[in-house]
Amino acid sequence: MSRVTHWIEKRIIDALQKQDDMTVSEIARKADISEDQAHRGIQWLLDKKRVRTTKKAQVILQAGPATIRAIKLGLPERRLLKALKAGQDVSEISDDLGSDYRAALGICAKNKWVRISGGVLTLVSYPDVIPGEDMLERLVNGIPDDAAASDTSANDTTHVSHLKRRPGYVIQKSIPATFSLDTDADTQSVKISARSTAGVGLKADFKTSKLDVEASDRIDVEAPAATLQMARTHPLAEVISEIREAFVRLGFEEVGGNLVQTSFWNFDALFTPQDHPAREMQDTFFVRGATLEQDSTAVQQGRVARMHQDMWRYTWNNHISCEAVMRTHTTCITIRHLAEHNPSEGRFFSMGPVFRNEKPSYKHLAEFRQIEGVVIGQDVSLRNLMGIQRQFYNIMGLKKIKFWPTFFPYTEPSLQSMVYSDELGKWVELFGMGIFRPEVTKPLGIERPVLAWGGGIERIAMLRYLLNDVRDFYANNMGWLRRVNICR
Amino acid sequence: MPVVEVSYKRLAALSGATPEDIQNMLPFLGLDIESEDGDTVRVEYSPNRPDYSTEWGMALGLQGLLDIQTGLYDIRIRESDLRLYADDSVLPVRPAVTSIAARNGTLDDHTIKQIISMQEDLHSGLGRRRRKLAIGFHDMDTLQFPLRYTAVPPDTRFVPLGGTESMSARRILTDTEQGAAYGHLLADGPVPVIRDAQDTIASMPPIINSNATVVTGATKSLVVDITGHNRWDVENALAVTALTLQAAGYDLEKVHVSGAGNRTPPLENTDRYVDHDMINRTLGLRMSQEEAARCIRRSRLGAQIREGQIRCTVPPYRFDIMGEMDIVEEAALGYGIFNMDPEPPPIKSPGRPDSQASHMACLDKIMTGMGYTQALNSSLIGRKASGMCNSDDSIAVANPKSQNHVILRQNLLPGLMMCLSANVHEPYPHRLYETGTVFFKDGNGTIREKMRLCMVMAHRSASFSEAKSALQSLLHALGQERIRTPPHDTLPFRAGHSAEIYSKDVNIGMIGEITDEVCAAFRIRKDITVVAFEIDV
Repeated sequence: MSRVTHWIEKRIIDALQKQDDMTVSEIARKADISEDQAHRGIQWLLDKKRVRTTKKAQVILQAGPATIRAIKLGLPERRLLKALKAGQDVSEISDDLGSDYRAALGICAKNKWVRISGGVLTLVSYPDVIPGEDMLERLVNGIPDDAAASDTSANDTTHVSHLKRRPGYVIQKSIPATFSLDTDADTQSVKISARSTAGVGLKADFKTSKLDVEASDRIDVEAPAATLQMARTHPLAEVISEIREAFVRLGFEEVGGNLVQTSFWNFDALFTPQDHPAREMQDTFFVRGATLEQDSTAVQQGRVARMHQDMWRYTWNNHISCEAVMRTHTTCITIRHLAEHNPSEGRFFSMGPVFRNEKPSYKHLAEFRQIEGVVIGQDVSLRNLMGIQRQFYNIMGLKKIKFWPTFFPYTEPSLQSMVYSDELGKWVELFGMGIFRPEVTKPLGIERPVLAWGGGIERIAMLRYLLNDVRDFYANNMGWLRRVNICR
Repeated sequence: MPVVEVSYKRLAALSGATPEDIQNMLPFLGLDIESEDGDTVRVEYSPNRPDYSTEWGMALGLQGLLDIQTGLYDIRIRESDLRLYADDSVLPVRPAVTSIAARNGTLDDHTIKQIISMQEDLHSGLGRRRRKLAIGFHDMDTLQFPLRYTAVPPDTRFVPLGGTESMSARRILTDTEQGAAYGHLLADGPVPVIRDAQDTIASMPPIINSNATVVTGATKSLVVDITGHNRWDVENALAVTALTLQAAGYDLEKVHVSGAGNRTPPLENTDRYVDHDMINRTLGLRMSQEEAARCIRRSRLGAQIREGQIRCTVPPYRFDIMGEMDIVEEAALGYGIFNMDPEPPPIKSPGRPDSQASHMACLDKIMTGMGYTQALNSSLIGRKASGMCNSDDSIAVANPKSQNHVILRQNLLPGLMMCLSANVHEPYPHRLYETGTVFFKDGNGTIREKMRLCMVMAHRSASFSEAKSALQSLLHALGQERIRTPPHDTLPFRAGHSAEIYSKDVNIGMIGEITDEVCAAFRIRKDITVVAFEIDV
């Protein structure tokens, strides 16, 4: 049992010092706490024997409307029996009793006071005492409910249980328990002030001030406390910020752009032939019911058209390049930035939602977030690209990485990076990368080599939060949002 | 990415490498190991390398990287008097055709499986599901040369492969599985066929072969036909087929093709010159010319030093090599990606986030400080959720595979309402916010994108005043000037409890209490108040 006194307890004690014999509600009101708090506090104080129950909670039975009527007219079964004894006509009796007739008849038949045979009702015996009849008057003043006794005393005709089970005869009224301070306990010494202010002030001197180890207002410092429902940023947004910071640290400048793009920037500018499977409605969201303005110059279109025609051997169609799509990668943003600003060197990154026409599964989403970085410069090389990856992953806490060759339509050479997850105990495929093909850069007037890489942000975030289902990020499960450990 | 099932034992026998070396090296050829089951391994290869669709092609690559055999693997084709004539009737139907013969091979089950894997890959990848090219294999002993490629009326009859009775071409297109799958590639009217000197029909490309020329385990020699719409595609596919059949042990024999603009496939190697400085610069290496040439040879291309440059010899099945940069990649692979040491370049100037991102970070701090938890939802939403507060002229995507990704959201509210609805069991109050892109059309029907912020509060007594106070506090923290909120009755808000938000006489958003009906529709038994407005960046 804790020796310390909770502030709720202190309030209750304070209230009970001013007035004895109070109910929980009265205490709550006096102590200015909620009834729930008062209940809990009193229970604690009862357990500590610092408060005692002065009057137990009880239920009082009182006369209901049916009892009031029975006092005036007699119980319906008594009236039925009387009438039968007087030889009154049955239909007359039934009219007289009205809705009580059936109940009266039932009780009389059950107790074998009457008999019904061949539709004729006859009196068998006339009882002196009808169960419960004696109780009618007593109910007017109220009698304590003795629920436990009601079963054993079924044969006791004076018992109220006979009336209790009939509708309208008995009203139950709860009388709450009352409490007072247990005078034996040392409650007088409790001080109400939550915090002692003695010794605190301009002249307070910690060397001379005394530690009052005997203080009676100790609190239970070990008791569990409630968890706050705190407001938080989204766990995925945390990873996005972290990635952004990593890129900025590595000298990258962020560029943004729209989510709806022309096919020109999303596909054509990236050397993706117009009959490429990725450009089918199966894989890409084409936007219907609205258009985009042409956002490439005639020179850009002409040069891109020539490159496609020379290398892929088909007739390039400007109309197809104007179709609006939900961007399938952020590469359309970075390549356009390079084409429009034509920097001789620089580092840029872009991040945000990208789209694929897919049915979401634990592995894939129709809309996910991508990070993409590019480096342009005279002397940039594949080993530089690998080096930047290593730096980035190191900042993200991923120390073990390796590279494999792979294929992307718009980079050559192309690599993919694998990182080792200690938690999962396996290699996980992360960013893809490469050097933009001259077939991509030349038509856009980009003269210097461009290193490019990117990948899904959710993948990194899944490693961070050890999720198996990528959809969890967008389920908006508030419990997870409020409680997930974002500072791993 | 296509996947093929191969055997370590057979790869070892074909390449002369140990299974351990093979397992280690496959990824460095660009071949991903998807899964392993004892000796069987499922390998994912790149769509630009159909020569890797069989064990033979992979074995060539492994030999190079493991220094067992390097340099060019040449396709050798014997001269012959075999001929295939195309007539002009195919011009409007499917004009391009090419062919080759392969003699004296054996077709065990495994060989057949590998050849079919290659054929399927060429059909679906390069062939764009047979539209651009279709390949037919025939038992050479059932055919009399010369062959003819011609268009015939659709009532022409033959027994389709696997069939028992003769059917008209028209019926084959409608009644067979192959016809149903690929019939749309042929227009109404004449259909292309390959027939022999005795008028036996060998195939009706790109749909189905004839049963008369069926290839079985007993077949000794093969004739291959490839049809399509242009010479490059069919000849590229033929080169991969020729490589595969030669590596499988066949002797290749030329088929002379002519007519309708077609030619005898040259299947020649091409020479490309590459500067070794460019290789070094691009990869960040310091190789000598000879070292660079050796790396290229390890990628199974020919490479000789000629007049200060490297002359690379590219076989016809390596049509993925389009330019200099592709040779650079071959050099990188031959050097071994595992041998390349990452080397970060020096950072020359400071980086910076874009202004929008910085602004958002600022909003995040204020919103969480006010007790709002951030939610993230899709920019594409379902029709049902969208119905709540998108106007009628919403923008949609074509053929979505998911019902929840149909409409480009005009408002962030539907996503947040769904979120509240999914969390009714969580302790209240709920206070959520989201920042994100919304879409709408301007007067010209052009798509515009805007950044918005939406906050919702749901609890027993969420009210307009709470919302307005949150809005005011936020704008104050952002240092923005005063706003006005003139009353404006509109669904899904309670009449008399909603307003428009004006900043500098521009309507930037809405604020209001959600009606009980809408709350009930989302099964939320609390009051909900909303603020949604455009973020000025």
